[in-house]
Amino acid sequence: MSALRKFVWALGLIGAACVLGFGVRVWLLGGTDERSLELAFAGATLLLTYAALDRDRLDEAAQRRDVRHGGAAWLVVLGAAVAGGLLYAGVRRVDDTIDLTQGRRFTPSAHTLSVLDGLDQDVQILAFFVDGSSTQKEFARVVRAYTERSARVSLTWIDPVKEPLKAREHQVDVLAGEVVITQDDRHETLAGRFDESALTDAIVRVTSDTVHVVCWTEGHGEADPDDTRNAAGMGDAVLALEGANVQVLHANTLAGRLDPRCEAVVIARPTVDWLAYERRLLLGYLRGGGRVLVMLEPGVTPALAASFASLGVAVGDDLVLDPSPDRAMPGAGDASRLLVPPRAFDSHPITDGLRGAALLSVARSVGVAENTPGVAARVLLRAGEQSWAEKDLAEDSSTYARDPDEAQGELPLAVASELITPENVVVPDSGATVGADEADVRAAVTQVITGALGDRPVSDATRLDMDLGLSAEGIDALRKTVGDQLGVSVSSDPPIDTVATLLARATEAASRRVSALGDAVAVPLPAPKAGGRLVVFGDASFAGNRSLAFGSDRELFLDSVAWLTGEDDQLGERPDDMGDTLTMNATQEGILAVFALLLVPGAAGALALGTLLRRRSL
Amino acid sequence: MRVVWAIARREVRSLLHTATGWLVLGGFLFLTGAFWLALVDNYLARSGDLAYDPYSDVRMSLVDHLLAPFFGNVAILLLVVCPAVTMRSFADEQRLGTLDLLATSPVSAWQIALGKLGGAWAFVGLLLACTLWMPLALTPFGALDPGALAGGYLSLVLLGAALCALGTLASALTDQALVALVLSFSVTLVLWIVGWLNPDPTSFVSQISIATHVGDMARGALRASDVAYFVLLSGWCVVALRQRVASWRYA
Repeated sequence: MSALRKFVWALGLIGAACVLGFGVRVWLLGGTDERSLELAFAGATLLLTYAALDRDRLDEAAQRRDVRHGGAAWLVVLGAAVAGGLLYAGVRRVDDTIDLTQGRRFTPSAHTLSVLDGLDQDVQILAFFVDGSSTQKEFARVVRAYTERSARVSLTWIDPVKEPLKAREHQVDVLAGEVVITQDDRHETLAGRFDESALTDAIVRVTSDTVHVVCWTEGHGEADPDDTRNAAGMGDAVLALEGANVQVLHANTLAGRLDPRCEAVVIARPTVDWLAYERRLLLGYLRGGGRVLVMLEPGVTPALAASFASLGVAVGDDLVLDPSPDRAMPGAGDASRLLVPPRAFDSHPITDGLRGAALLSVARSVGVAENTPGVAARVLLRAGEQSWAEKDLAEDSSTYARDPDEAQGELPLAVASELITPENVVVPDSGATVGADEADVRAAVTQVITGALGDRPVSDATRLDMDLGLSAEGIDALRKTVGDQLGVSVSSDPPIDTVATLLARATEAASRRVSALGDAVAVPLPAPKAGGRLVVFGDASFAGNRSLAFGSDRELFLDSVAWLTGEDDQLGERPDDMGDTLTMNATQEGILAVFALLLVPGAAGALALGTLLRRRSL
Repeated sequence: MRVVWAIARREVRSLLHTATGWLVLGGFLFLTGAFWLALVDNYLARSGDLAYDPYSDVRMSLVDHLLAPFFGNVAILLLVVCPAVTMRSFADEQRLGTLDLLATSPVSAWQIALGKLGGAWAFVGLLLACTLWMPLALTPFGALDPGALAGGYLSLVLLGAALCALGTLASALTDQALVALVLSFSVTLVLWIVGWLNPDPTSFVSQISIATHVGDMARGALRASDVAYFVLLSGWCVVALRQRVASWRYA
């Protein structure tokens, strides 16, 4: 019996473990089952048995002074835990967040808030992640703001390993994680990227009634919408558009017509002027309620630039320079690079939600044209007070100085215009037939060839192989470039050897195409209709791959298209997800390694040794 | 307050007057330096790879791919370092018999508890301050977000306070420093991994998990619930510690 009493504490211990096990099971399962009830019963029985067998010692212990005082201490500790838990629960209900980051990374962007606030349908987010994975934690961080902001957004976590049937139902078979956003029978899937930008774009795609179609003009040396590799390309801008439920089609106006699916037209950095009938087509499209975004660089396409006057947009034939230090790009030292802070944005739906500065490089002025009744035109952004419009573009750029006749101060750089009375838009009759444009075709081809040959001095007689030193491959590449820019195929048989040959061959191909489409050119223009919208920027580089990541450049581009396509709830600053750079060479990294692994820990080690020696010497 | 400060100063001094304290500092700095270097190297390598991959949609972020993992690694190191720093604070007093002197001294139990905890916390603060040069050394080479940096260090300071409080409490529960080390490390480890049981950040297990409350702060988001978690956990430990210290007086 004494041996039994000696080890009776084991019964109490096992009993307590059973009760603890019961608690854990209930907690994990979210309820009781038969096994947990068995555990509870066994635990209670063992504890009662222990108390009955060891009652003398328990009674004796309860009488001890430290236990009596300790009991009160335990109550205090328990009370503190309960109070702490309640306090924490109270804080959780409020749970405000102070966003310390520079880019406001934990504050949903204005664009996201606008999309969430504009939701008029329930959106379900099914998050397929392996429990505890790092991607799941990342996504949890992102999605939290969505569910907190909008009651229309619901979230369900699904582990594809634990629930393979659900994963198969949604065709999720990767363990890296996927997110399915559903709205009624429509769904969008995110894989690989789970940041705010990707999630918001997916919600836009799944809730937007239509996929907008934007036509990207070509044939005038425009920026390549498929080029994501080179600085001058605009592939990144197009990818951003596609992320916002916009489909981008190529449109060659040389054909004399626009795809009827085009909800908006983008003219990005043309280097060859538009032919008369193309301009007529464009103005007719705008007068018929069409939407157009134009990004023009200085010194090019004068006829196209002048054609927007009756739509309230005056495009200057100049170069805007701004020498003021507060508008200079750090480290650039170049007055033609225009830093436009948010305070220099005029109020407009396109610019109202923007918080970052825009960077425009080598821009021309674009202002509101006078005497254009029936048009509501507003400036979007302006250069600084010290800016001026340099008109002598041929002058050496190092000697640019403001002349008295050149406009100065807060020059407008972009205008958004809306047609209220479309009948006022002047659409020229000339160019209605193709034959009258033969000279234009030749001039356009000349510009394309000159542009393709860069700064090299050329004449019709210039030999491509001897004077310019091009190889056979170089000549063929030039032929293809010119053909691509004109949207035609330039024959290489017989071989091309001079600029004159190339010009003649390319002009012939372009004219043939225009002639073949003569009937199409004569297609009547749409009837005037109010609501046409036009946005003209005096710069195109801001939407190029190099600049798109800077400040609000991407937003300027995307918001312009959103305004043109009537997606007003998609306007506003988008989250910055363009990434950071860290530039270190091997030597700098080596120095960092020496400090991190040797010098700094070594100093602490030396101090340890010094302390040891000092203590030994005492 | 002066008494608390005196006790805390004595604690720090006792740590720095032994080779062990400096060795802990050196080891901590070596490990954090190695982690930092590996992360910087990885960041540079991945950035380089992505520059040649125009089809990749991964965006390298100094906060997400450098600072946050660094603070995560340091936080895991603190799980070991804090128990090691605090394990002797009361256990040695009990083992060496100096606890009676402390218990009968004319200072309150609150002052003893806060002083001991403050000393350990100050030492951990010193460890963290010695790592500050690492992110700052990168400022000429990339635009580190100062807000995220501040948030990261604040998260480590708060985590250090909570872990030191748990460690000091564990030290007060036993007269064996090693037992205190194992006990406090076990508790903090359980508090760290318990969140893995349920990924939903609003679930109960996630809410009591330390890891849940470090993540966002290490990226620069100062959430009220995260700050409250660490403050309340530390506060509860101080209350429990005070009760323990008081119990020695009437035992």
